[in-house]
Amino acid sequence: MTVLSQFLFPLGPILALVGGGCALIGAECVGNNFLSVRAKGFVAWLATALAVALCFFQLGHIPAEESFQLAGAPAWLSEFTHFYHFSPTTVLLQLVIALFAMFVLHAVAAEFRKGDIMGEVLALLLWSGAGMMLLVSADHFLIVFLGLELLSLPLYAMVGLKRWDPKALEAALKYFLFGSVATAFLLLGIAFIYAETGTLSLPKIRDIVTVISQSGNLSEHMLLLAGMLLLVVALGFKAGMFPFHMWLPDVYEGAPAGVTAWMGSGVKLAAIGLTFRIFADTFATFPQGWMEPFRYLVAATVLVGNAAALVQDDLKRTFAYSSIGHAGFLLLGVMVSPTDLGTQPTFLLYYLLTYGVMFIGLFSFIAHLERQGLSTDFTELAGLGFTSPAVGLCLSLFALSAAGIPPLAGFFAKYQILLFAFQKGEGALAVIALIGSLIGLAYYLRVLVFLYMKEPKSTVRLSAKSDPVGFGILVTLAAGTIVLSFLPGIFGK
Amino acid sequence: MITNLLLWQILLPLVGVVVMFPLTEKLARPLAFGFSLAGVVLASVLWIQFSGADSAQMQFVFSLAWLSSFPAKIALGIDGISLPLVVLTKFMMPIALLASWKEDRHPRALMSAYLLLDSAMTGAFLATDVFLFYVFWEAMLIPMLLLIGVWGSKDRIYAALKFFLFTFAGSIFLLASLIYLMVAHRAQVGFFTTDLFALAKVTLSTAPGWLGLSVQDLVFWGLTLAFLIKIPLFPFHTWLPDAHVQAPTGGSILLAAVLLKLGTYGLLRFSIPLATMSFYKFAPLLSVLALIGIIYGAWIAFQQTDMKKLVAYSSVSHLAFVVLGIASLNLEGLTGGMLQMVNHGVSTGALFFLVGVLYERRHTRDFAEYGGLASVVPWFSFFLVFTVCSSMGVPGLNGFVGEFLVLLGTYQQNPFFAAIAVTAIVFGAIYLLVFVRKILFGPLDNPENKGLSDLKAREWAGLVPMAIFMVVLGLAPYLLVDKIRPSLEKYWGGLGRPNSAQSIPKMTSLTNPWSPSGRGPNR
Repeated sequence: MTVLSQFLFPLGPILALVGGGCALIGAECVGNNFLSVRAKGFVAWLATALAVALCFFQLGHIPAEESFQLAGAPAWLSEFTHFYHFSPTTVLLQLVIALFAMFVLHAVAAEFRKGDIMGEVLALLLWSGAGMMLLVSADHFLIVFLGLELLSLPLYAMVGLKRWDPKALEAALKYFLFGSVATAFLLLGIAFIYAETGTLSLPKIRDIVTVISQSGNLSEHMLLLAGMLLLVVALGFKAGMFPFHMWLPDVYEGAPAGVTAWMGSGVKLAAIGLTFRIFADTFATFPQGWMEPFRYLVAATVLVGNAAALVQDDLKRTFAYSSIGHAGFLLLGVMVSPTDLGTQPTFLLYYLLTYGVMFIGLFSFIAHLERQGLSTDFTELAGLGFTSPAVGLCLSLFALSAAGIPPLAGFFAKYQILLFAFQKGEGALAVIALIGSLIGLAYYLRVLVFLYMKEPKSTVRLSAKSDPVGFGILVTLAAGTIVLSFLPGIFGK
Repeated sequence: MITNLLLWQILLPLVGVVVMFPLTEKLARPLAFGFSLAGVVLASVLWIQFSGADSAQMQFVFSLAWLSSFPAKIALGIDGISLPLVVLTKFMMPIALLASWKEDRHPRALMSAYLLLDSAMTGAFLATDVFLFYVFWEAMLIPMLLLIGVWGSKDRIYAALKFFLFTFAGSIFLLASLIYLMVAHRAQVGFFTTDLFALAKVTLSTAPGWLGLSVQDLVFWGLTLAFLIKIPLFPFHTWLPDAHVQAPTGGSILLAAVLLKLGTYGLLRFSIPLATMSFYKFAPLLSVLALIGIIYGAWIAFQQTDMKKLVAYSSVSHLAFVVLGIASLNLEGLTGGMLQMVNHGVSTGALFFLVGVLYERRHTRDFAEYGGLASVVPWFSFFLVFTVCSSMGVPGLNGFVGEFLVLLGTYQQNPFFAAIAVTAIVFGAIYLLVFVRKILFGPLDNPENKGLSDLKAREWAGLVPMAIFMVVLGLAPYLLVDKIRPSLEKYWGGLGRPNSAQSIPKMTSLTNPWSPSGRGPNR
């Protein structure tokens, strides 16, 4: 391979998404009707499909070394390779992101089909996907920052795209303000860590942290601790950790349902992936004392998220709060991740995948409600299980899987995390997480109650005829939930 | 491998669901009934082929790696403890379907729910892998939730959710205990396993710790809480009357006959082997709870004016009797407990069936609406009196044998407990006989009852097998006991028999039959 192709090969999926976005914007520049609505959707789909294909291709041709090397390249170019992590894990993370993007496309595109901004919306979606990919592959704090901004900026815009809806505007403003503050925390944290270690490269920081931890005089390195705490705050914002979760329900509710599906699946994955990278890998050797406050926050996140979801009547708000509960579970996973897994959070990835599938499924259904001009209350589900059995079955599968009822995928995801929690001696925390999922069960069962046990009055029309793509996506995701439950070790090797 | 008898006990109902799905609603009932009858045939084959002499060991063992890179296996096996319950499950299925024959709302979905429930219940009895057991244990909640919530009566949603949440609340502690055992196994032996018998060899500390409870005690309570809720033992019983009253007749039958047995089965299969010392330590507490449950259940049953509620509380009382037998931890008590599990399944199933017969005709379950039915519906009255006799333990019918053995076992453990338990037999006779008197005898003063029709062919078909069963087991209990005795002896022989009139033996004098040094299954 030439130097250039060696250099571009690991970036393939990212380039596919960025390229797709540029193509869409380019077409919009030529003229609003240069591409038909259908063609725009196809271009975006093609970009995600290309990214998926490239990820699979990379999995087959991955170099043995964890970071990629350039043979015969000038020194200034080789320097770039230390910025970017290229390993089976990052490729898998990117693959899941690309898949999420693929399944979210329809819900987002359909929302804006009638307006004249569909091309821009899809471009923003693809770019934020590229940002997520960059974020989970970062080997350097600069890339972390770059990825985070590339992920966030398009999303700020996407949340507020419905300019005529005050709720959407409120959501966009909230998301932007909270997000900016989080970014500020992140930057300050990075600066503190840089001040202490003199480098921004994550592997180098890991080495220095190991040395510092072994020396045992942490009191001389308070800046490092301060930097870490600032990072906890910043990542807590993005992942929706208590007490930094307040923005999340409002934003998830105000944003168009398709965009919410993207935030709940993709952003969650990127945020947890980065949290894992920083706290379970880079700072893994740091003395366990720092976990102490984190432990209470994780417990509170699981309980608060699930308990608050219990009292909601709106589907979007319910599942927004439930996503906080799931974030708590995931953060527990980050916390108890066994050290011998190294940089391979396979069990977290499985959780994120199953959760993302369920979240996208539920929110593509909610997006359908919104397109029909219906409210997003639970009452819209009443009797749907018998008037359209297929849709009802899909929704029940999503709800039961997310609630963690075996033998569905969500159960295996939770089970793996609990297993590691007990192994790490965090039995009490595991039991609290289980209690959280018990609380969570109550509102997931509400989905079933409304689908099957209430008097039919739902006016939702969603069938293979009225919306073949949307219906197909719903069925595919539900089938995915079942298939995944047979593959809890899917990311093992 | 694919011809394994146990595997097909679980798969057959699932095949039924798949076959039923593309067909019309009309065909659903006969098809489901056909599949349930095929299940009875399979269970009979199992009963005949099962070797009573070797019942201490798992027979028809089946094992299949299920998930790559995951320790859990599809491991099935049957011994003397699970055999009667599996056969009971299969036997009650067609009866429950017959009881739901008249339900016109979504018959295909209803029948699917029954068959899924069948599969999950059978699977839970057959699993020898704790993970697989947990999967079935939870999976059976969903069809039951739908049975109560979709096809139930007025307050069905409340009852369905209460049922689900109560059980799930117990299950999370069950799951936590099982995971803890797996992790402990890894720490002691070096690898994860979900095999029940391997986990029984894990040594759990009995040193007092948090709140004076040892690690083993915590594991014990984690496991046992789930089972006590399922049984349900006082004070965890409050979900049961709601669920029973709101559930459709078929659902009530299965709930009483099979689902509750999973709790007592769990005590035998999980609580005792996995936390033997703690079980001994807390057996007196379980006995006391059981005694409270026996008296309390009978007492509340006496106060009821709703027939289903009465039968539901009688279940609370009867199941507490089973727990009393198990907690006595000697051969008589355990045998009596096992027998009572089966007896209660059939007798209470029959009671719910009969209540359903009346409810179908009159759409009320209030005592006040009835009276003097004996002259209008003689055959119905015959079966009701017969079943009530069985339920309150009239000698010659099945209930007597079980109750007697439980009392015998309890007496050896603690005569005082036995004395209290005996009074419950009187209470049981009172509320059941009063129930019979109010319904069947006295003046026929409600004109609406005068035109009641007697049993139809469908109802005969459901009741006759149960009645035959009550007589056969009452006269020849050895038919069942011979099949299961060796597996019960394992609990008794291996644990050391407590001397009569002496309370629970010292923990240190016990050997664990599931540990390598004690007698145990060939593992």
